[in-house]
Parts: sequence; C-alpha cells; structure tokens
Amino acid sequence: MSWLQRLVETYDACFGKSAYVKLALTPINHVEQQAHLEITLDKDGEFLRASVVPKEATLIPATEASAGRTSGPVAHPLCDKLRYVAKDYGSNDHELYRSALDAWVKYSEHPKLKAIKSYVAKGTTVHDLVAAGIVVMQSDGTLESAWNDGPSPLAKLLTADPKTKLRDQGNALVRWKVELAGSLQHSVWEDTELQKSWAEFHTTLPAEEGFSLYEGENRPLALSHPKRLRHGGDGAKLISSNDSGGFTFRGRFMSAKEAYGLSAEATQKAHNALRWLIARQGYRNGDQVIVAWSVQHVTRIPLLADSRALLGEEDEDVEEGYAECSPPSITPENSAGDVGQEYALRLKSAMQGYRSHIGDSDNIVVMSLDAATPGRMAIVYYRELTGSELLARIERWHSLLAWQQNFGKDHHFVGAPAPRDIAEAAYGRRVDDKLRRATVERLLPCIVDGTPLPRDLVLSCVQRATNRIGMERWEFERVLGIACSLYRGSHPQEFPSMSLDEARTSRDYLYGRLLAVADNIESMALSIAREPRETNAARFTQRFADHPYTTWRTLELQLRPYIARLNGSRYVGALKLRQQLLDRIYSSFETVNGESTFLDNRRLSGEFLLGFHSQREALRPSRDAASATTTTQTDVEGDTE
Amino acid sequence: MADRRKTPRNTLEFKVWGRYALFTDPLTRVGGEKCSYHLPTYEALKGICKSIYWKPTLIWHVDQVRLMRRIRTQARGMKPLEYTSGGNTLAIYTYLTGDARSKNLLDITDGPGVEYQVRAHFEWNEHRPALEQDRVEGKHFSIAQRSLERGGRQDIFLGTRDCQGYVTPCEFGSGVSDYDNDGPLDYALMFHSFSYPDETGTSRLGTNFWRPKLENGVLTFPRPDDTDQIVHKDIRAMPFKAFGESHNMQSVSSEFEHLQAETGSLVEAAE
Repeated sequence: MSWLQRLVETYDACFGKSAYVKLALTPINHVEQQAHLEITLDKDGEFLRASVVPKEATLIPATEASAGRTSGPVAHPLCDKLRYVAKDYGSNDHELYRSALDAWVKYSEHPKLKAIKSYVAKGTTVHDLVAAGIVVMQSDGTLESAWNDGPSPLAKLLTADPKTKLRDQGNALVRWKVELAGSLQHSVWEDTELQKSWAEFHTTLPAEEGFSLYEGENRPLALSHPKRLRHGGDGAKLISSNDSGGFTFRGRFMSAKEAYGLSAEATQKAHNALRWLIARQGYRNGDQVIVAWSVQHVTRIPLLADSRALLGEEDEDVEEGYAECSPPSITPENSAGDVGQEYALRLKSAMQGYRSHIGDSDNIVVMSLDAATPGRMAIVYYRELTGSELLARIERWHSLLAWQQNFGKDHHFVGAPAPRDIAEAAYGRRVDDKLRRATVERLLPCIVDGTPLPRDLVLSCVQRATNRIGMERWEFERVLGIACSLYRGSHPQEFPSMSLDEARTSRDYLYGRLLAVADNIESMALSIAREPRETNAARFTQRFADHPYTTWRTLELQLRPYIARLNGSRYVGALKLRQQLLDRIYSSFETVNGESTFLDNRRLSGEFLLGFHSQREALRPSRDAASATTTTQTDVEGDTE
Repeated sequence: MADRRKTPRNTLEFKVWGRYALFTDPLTRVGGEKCSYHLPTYEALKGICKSIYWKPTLIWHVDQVRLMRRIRTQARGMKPLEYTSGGNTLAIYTYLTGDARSKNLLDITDGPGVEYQVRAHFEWNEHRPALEQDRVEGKHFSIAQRSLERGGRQDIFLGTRDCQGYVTPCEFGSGVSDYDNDGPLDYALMFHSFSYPDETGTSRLGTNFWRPKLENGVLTFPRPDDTDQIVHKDIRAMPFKAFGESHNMQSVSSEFEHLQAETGSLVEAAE
C-alpha cells in the first residue's frame, strides 16, 4: 500500500490493453515527441518518399539520458532530429546517433532496423530530402534558416530560436516508415515488436545499480525522474533531488543517492501510469490535480461531480471509457412521489450502476497532487479504500447534501453541488484560484473519508446567501441552494426530508417560512401592478437574519398596502390562503419558559434559509403541471393557477 | 498507570499522541515536498523511547505499536528556509492527523490528532564493554518508568521536530481503537530504521527497510537484525562513538563526591 506500488500495479494491469487504445499508456523507455518529417524506405533501405507531418505526437524509443536531454547532445536511438540522423547535415551529433542505432541493430535483427541502418549509413538523407522538395537549400549549398521569403511548410512547424529568430531545418524530427513485403505495419512508431525489442535491448545497456526503494533490492537506478505529469508544459516533478546545499537529506547522508534510490523501471511505470490517469480521468483545477481510479480495471469515478453528473444527466463527457460506467437512465414512470424520494431512488439506482463496474473489493486509490513551486509537486492527499467503501461514501455525500439546486435557467436539479461550486458560493464568483484549490482540497476528505464539513465554509455560504443585496438574482438562487445543501449536510439526521416540514417548530425554521410567505405575497402584488422591483422581504433579508423579531414587525407593516391591493383583485383567494398560512406559522412557535420563541430577537442560524427555501418551493406553482405534488400545499397552488 | 508487576522488568508501555505526525517517506523527503508514511517508523518510535529515557548502556527495541485513530492526512503550505542562498522556498508538507474524539476544541488529548500505543523494551548494548558495571536492570527500568510518568526527559516529537507529541504510561492494548476489527492490511516497502555503528558494532551506517503488515491496527516490528523481514542497505563508513567512565561519563557516586567537595557545606546545611 503505497502510491508507487499502486501506480506500478496499474501500469502492469492496463498496459497494452485494447480497451485503452485511443489514449494508450506510454511504454517504458519511450517518449512522446512531435515528429515533423516522415521518410519512407523500402526493405533494402532505399529512399522511396518523404513527407511533412502535421502536429502529431509520435512515440519514439529513448534511453534515460536521451529522454532527459536538454542542451547537451544525446541521441535517441531510432527517430531523432535531422541533425542527428543525417550524415550529410554535417553535425558531430550524427556519430552519437550512429553508434546508438548500431548497438541496437547488433542486438536485434529486426528487418526495419536493418533497412534504416543501411539507409543512414549512405549519408544522403539531406540530399534526398532536398530532392523531394521538403528541405530547402540555398544556392551556396547551406540549408535555409532565415526564411526571408516566408517559411516552407516544414519550417512553419519548427519553432524559431528565441535569440537568433532562425528556424534551423536540422531541428526537424524524423520518423521512419519501412515498406516490407507482406506487412501492413510500415510505421516504426506503432510497431509493438520494435517496442518490445527496444525494451529487451535496453535492459542490456550498462546502468548504475543501487538499492531501489520499490523492489527492495539492487536494480538499475533512475538517473532522474520524469516530469510533464499534469500537462505537456508541466515542469514539476514528484521525485526530485537537486538540493545539494540545503538540508533535505544532508547531515546524515552525504548525497541524494545515499538517501534514496528508485529503479528506472519502477519510476517510469509509475509516472507513465500517473500521467495517463491524469490525462484520462483527472480532475484539474489550476495546479491541483485529483485522480481516483480502481487498480484492477481503470474505471472513471465521479468523485468531485455534482449530482447531475453523477446521475448521468449531463452528457458532455461521453467518450471512450465513459460509456462503460454510465448509470441506467430513469424513466418518468418510476419517479413518483416527492422530489426527495424520487432523488433517493435515482441515486440508489445510479450507484447500483456504478457498482456493476466497480467491484466491492476493488482497490480504489484517491490521489491529489498540488505544486507550491513550479519545479516540485507534492502529494497532498492519498487514500486507498475498497470499491464498496468508496461508493458508500459517495452515496452518503450525495444524499446528505441533497437539495434543490438552481444554477440558472435550464439548470435545475436536485442533489449535491460540486466542490468547485461550493467554493464559489462561499467566497464569491471571483474566488482566488488558491482559495478555490484549498477549498476543494478541504472538501475531498469530507467526500472520501466522510469527515464533517468545515464549519467556516458552511457559515460563509449561509452568510453570503443571507446577504442577497450584493448579488444578481441568479447568483442568489445558486448560493441559496448550495447554502441549504451545506447546512443540511452539516446537520445530519436533522432534516430528513428535502421538502417543507410543516411539523417543525424550531424558531429559525419558522422565521424562514414567514419570510418566504411575505416575499410571496409582495411579489404577487408587484406582478399585478407590473412593477419589476425587489420585494421588501428580499431587501431586508440580512437585517431579518440578524434581528428577526423587530424586522418582522417592519416587514409586516410594509406588507399592508400590498395586501390591500390584492384584496381588490382576482387573487383574493390566494391571498386568503397565504394569510391562513401565516397564522398557522405564528401559532407553531413554541413557548419556552412562559415566553414565545417568536419574541426572541437573536440572530437566526442557517436553518432559516432551509425554512425559507422549502416554503418558497411549496408556494411556487409546480413546474411540471402534469405531475401531482404530494405536499400539503396542493390546495394553495391549485388556487393560484 | 500500568501495573508494574505484570510487565517484564525491561518493558515500557506508553501512549504517545500529538496534533500532527510526519514520518517522511524518503522518496518525497529528498525533493523537499515532505509526505508522511501512513504508519510510524521504528526509528521514530525508538527516538521517542530515547527521549523518555536513554543511556549509552542500553538500546531500545520497539516491539509493537497500536494505531488508535483512523489515519487522516492534512496538507499544509510551508515556507522552508533556504540555508545557502538565503530567503525561502515554498513547499507543501502532508502530515498525519486523525479525527477528534471529543467536541471540545481545547481538549488536546481527544482533539484531532494521532494517537499510538507503544510497547518497547531495552537491552544492553553489548558493544560497550566499558559500561558493563552500569548494566543494572532494576535501576534503568525504574528511572525509565519515573521519566515516563513525568512525560519524558526530552521533548517528544512524532517523526519530525515540528510535530510535538506527549507521552503517558498506559497498558498496551487497552481502550478502543478505530482499527480493532479491520483485519490484516499489507503495506509496500517502508523505511524501518538506521543501523548506527554504536549499536551494530561495525563502522558502517546503514538503513533498514521492511514490508509492514497491520493486524487490527497493531504493527509488530521485526528487530533491526532480523534478516528474514529486514532488507538492509549499506550507506557509508561512520566512526563509532565511544563512551566510557573516566572518558566522557562519570559514575553517580563519584559525581556525588565531587559535588560534595565543591559544595560540601551547603549539602550539610541542607541536611
């Protein structure tokens, strides 16, 4: 049980599997590079044709030294830049390439290798390419690099030297095709036999041996560890040792080698697997990456999605691999009952769907990476658990935080919001990137370990939902739903139902309901008069939350003209029902120590948002008129229609 | 307090707890982004025993550790100093911690943090023949017990200096652990301990690794010289630090005489 071991296991389980063809795992001792040129040879190594390759990542064999090369010349053994490959380019680098290729050919008698070797030995590569019209030569016999008359198609693909602004054609990477009789596989970069041959040959190369922390025995050690884990331009390394002056290991140890060692095989497998998992199913948020996978068979696990995505109601991400674990669709017939029940049913069946892909005893790994500096990456979260545990935790999260979410016009759903949305609700839409990352980081254990929600986060959401003056209407609706979710989630068992609980007699809940009814009456009156402005109830929400009793007095007084207006209209029936409802709520307040809790003017907790939201939903004419609601508010709604 | 009659005369049982622990995985330590192992290492626990009480006459051997709280981690942003170039760098350290058992935030014993029960015993260091006359089991056992009851002689810390810990006597295996019914759990190769010349008798420094197996939250450590379970890596030559009476140690009786000669009148006056 360690991240290294799990990643190597994942590599071994998934490498070469046909299910992952589209985005395959990189074999070890190979690197992916962008080729620019393609040269086709026949079986005897005669030049047939050449072409320019548009941006296309190509898998080329590499030694550890060549994979990590920077300014010093080290040759890749098979496909490399023109300056290495072509003898007639006139660079000393060619000798390095020749010796690397020759050593491999000596080991393996692969016909493609022999053809390439004999072609390279002729030393006519640049000449052939000029003849084919791909490489441009100036009249004085040197290769064009300034491109004053505009770059050739090949030169367009090359990046110009930042200092001299020259585009050297020698930097074009060459890949080979060898046309063998009776074989359809011409390209060398897709030839699995060649890959295997290279892997075998590579083990015979001399390497420094030492104690590897993975195998626990002496192995050829890695000289350095791969980067580019999160994306192509990522320079951060998970394992590094460039600190010879500081005290990360000095003191007890003299060199980094004494402090640790890791075999080249283990580190490459682990890093390739991690890079692949991140590209395939990682959740990325700036520098932060969170990835969850099952070691036995890599299945995507919707860890940080909102309930809509969990239930498969968003089909943005349907692609290879996703379909394998999409939950069954839910037909409207089995969605009877109230929203809470219906949601619970759908969640249950969706989890059933996931369960059919993730075994109960599967090893699931959840790993989160983050970088504080550009060069190093840290494992900030690592957890292993079984499939059944993880699914139970996900289900718990989505049922605990279930609430009506209103994310905009066509974006209503019931369920838990995504951690990223929670961060926005708590800290505003323009939340600092670091804060967003930190928030997601803090919510991760709440989902995966089932730890309680951070209290400050809940309070912050409630606070923002209360202060609705600063927000646009749609944003308020969004924050309100999320605040209710979080408040419900931080008080498990207290709010079993998502819909209005008429029997609940706590002060905060009832005050929330009162506010919703006042808001409703007022907006009804305003809509008759076609006055599109905010209600007093909405404007006073903040003050109401701080001093409910005194503010309610003000609100009630301000309500009178609106009531008078409605009395004279055809909505008088609806008004009567609402007034009765107000009376019912008044009478529900408990009496503690001889005094009604209604008179208590202390600050309201987040619970009042739940009361407000539920009551408002109950008063609202149902969105889908066809489906009958089972709430007690049916009669009220019937009249408003 | 543990019943002294029940434990052998060289065994110490104690509870150690703290807000955080950081038993750094060497793979991440060298880069600077320290990430903790999920389990305490033998060497860290041995260091805790030594902080409670140690003399060069004896070597502590950690027998078992019991994890009391469910393993949780917490990442924290750090600003480590750059010793050579000045200034600082930025890093993220990942510490171990655990869920609170008590809702009272001021309750440091049951608040969020790690908690372990440890059983360790001491043996004589046979590579120090000069200290042979100091091998009095009852004496060292009593001093160790008394030190433990007072929270140890030196600062206790869990793996890394910034993770302050606390010790108190306990009966190993008492109380409820979050792992009581978890069954066996295998871990990958993990650091076990250092082999220092003064304990092995050779002039080499080495590191030891093992593959831990957690059984209902209890980890039974192999001895550092158990070649079946321990994988040894030789590091480099290291000189043996010599201790001896007359050279850098002094017997209590001669110390007393010395003190008496210096402050004789004071001692008599106090009596």
